[in-house]
Amino acid sequence: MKLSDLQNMRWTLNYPELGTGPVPIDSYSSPGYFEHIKSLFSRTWLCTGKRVEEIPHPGDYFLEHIEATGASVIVVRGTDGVIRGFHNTCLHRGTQLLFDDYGTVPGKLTCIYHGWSYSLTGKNVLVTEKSMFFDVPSMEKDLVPVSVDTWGGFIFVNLNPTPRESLREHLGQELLDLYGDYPFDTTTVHLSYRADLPCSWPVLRDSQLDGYHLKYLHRRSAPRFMESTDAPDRHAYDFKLLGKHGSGSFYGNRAEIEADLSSVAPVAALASRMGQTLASDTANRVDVNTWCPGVNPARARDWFFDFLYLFPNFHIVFLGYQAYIGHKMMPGKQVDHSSWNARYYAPPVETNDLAGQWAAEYMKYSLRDLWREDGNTTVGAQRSINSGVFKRMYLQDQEVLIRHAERVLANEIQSA
Amino acid sequence: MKSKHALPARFEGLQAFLDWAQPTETLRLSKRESSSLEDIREFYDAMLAEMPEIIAYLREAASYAQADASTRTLYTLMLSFADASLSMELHKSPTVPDGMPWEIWKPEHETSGWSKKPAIELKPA
Repeated sequence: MKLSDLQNMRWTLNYPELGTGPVPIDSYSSPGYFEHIKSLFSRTWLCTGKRVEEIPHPGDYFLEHIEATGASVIVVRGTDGVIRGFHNTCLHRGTQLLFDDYGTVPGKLTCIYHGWSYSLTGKNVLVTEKSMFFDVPSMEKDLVPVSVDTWGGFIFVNLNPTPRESLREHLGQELLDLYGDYPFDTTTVHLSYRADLPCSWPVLRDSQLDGYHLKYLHRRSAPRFMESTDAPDRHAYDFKLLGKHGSGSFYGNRAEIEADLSSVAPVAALASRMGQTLASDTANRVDVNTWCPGVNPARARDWFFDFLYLFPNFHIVFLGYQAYIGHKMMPGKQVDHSSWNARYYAPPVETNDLAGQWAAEYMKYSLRDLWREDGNTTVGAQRSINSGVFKRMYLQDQEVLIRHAERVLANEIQSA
Repeated sequence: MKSKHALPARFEGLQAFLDWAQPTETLRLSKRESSSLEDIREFYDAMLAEMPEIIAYLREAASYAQADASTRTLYTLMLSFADASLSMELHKSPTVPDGMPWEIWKPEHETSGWSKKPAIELKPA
């Protein structure tokens, strides 16, 4: 498929309910709207970005912090292998049970303060100096649970212990069918960068919801990778609105990406061949016709990446058959604060292959620097919003997912 | 200055660049960000000339954990070279032009918390 085959396609017009007019920015600036966002994050499924193989054995845990609501959640694998979640709160005096973000506990959780202890199912198994308490049977002393479920090996939490819908209902059958066969289980996390930014969560969310900016913002870190002479105003092969979620698939100029590099960027060229980097010819390593139907749906050879936005807080950016980025974007404590955690996932690198490890480190640093370009735009946009000068957004057709994300957010808030 | 035999014998010509062999990603990036483009170019050019030999050497080397000190130093120099190459080949600048400051963008994979992560095991039961 070529971009010019799309001819007069305008994805936005396929969804009349989205309209084509300017998009208001209340969610980016209004403290009142922010209260609704906080409420949403206390009752919907949130992807933690962490994966099942990161806590493979009983007692392995990580902490998940949800700044907007103040919650600290322990996600732990039980002695029965089941992954559960609890507020990180001892029911005696409220002290946090765990302080390290990752680790392993020996079969139970014991409070450092007065030694109360809990099984990995959350049940209180020890009240110390028990005979000195009053009416122990009627004390609320089991850990406060949250909902936990997994999809594709990703661990999701929902602060509501009795969610309105299951994770599978939240994701929807079409998304499950499109991406269920991606070989997530052959991959794991390689790196993780975090930033707390003075910008609203929707500004941060939008920064990874278009492919439009790559030709311009990333002109140095991904030079000419998305420029098409065939259809200069196009860069997208496909967009899908998948219920609350959405996907996009994007062109990559393979001739530019490969040919030019070896003379002007010899290290980038070498790393792209030794490992998998942004310049690797990923669509030629594993036959694209065997990829799961959601990724590179046009089965294009001139392909750069796809993304899948999982409402509300997680973007997966597919870079190849077994390589993808996860952006976790979370609101902060106030409307114009948010946090960004970017992770990259691929098959583990052999520890006895120092050359291969070097190529993986090259990929790490190139992603790190590229993401810094994204980060700066968000802070600048928020300044313009807060100044009152910037009031609405005019979006082109290939930014349809931003239009959709705002509509979904409004619908979810109204339906509360 | 490190000892005279900090690098494998055949790469002793790179001895002048040992300041680039900083032990952590954060320190290496700090070194790049605070260097002039001319200093980065000098390091990049010297490493680029040896790159095929260094890659061949690393292919023959043991894992990092089992490698000797001089091999580890050479590998660390190669990590700094990756940073330097981004400056020379892509950014044309010691820093990321128009990017957010490097200190804001924190590598969680270098924190003490991350070091307590359980070992990865693909496809757990």
